[in-house]
Amino acid sequence: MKTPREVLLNRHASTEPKLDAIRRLALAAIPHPTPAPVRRAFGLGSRWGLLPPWPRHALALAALWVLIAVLHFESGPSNPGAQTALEIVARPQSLLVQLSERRRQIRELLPPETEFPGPPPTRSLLFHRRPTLNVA
Amino acid sequence: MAVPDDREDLPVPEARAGSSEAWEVLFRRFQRPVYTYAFGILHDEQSSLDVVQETFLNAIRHLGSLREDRKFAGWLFGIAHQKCLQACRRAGRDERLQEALSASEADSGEAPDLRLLREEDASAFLAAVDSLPAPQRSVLLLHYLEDFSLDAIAGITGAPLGTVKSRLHHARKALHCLLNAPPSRSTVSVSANSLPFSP
Repeated sequence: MKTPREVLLNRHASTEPKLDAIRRLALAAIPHPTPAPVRRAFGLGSRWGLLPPWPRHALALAALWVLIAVLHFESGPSNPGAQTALEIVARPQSLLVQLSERRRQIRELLPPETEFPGPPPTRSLLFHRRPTLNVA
Repeated sequence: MAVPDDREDLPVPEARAGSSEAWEVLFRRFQRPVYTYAFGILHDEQSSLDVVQETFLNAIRHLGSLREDRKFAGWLFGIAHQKCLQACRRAGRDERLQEALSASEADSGEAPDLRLLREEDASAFLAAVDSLPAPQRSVLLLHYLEDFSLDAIAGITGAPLGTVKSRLHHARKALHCLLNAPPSRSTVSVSANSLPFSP
């Protein structure tokens, strides 16, 4: 004895291979979940979005920076002409000594009656020379 | 094959998440019932296979629109039903409806239910089902194949509940008559190819 359902379904048992083929076809159409972006896989968030997402490029860039830094430090101490303005400003005491020495040399070369202008007024002097209003 | 009900554990949430294994389970479970339903309506193998394929592809695309996972079977058969309608229209079949049956909704006594069939009655049963008018055949197939409730069948076919009740009642009655009739009478011509469904 069979149920009507069994009778109905058994009627089409021979079609099963074709239905299996259709099932495989339909399964192939299932959209796969999209993988996360590569840069997230490296832990780089949106802040680092401008960096190239490929690790090889990042490594090459880092190596280039290291090379530039090494070349910079090697050329620095051995080349005296490469003294920068920043380095000069960083040593004001030596500058003042050089300046007073040159002034002394100039005094020696000039005749004794020559007036040598004094040093320019400092900021503090200028500050105290306020113009006064004559209220007559 | 067990007849499903609302308690059947189908991997619908997993399928919604894109799991191929879940879809495999669902397709295996429903491929033959859907085909049987489509063939019962269309009576053509190739058209029925097309309906199965289109039903599955639509299910993959639109599973997100299914609100209640436990209604997956009814939802899937609803798609198959629509595909059968489209196939009927493409084939240019007669769209006359068998509304004469749906007009008489008063039950004149319950027809005997065909719960179990003997082996020798199987072919007669299939022939009797095939000879039913398409609207009744559709309702009967949904009832027997998946044991859908009348409400569910109404939802699948888009017909009012009263119409579904009437169709099922008359389908059972006609089936009983055809099975108990002598062989010469079982070939009573009923337009089996007319378009089945319209409220």
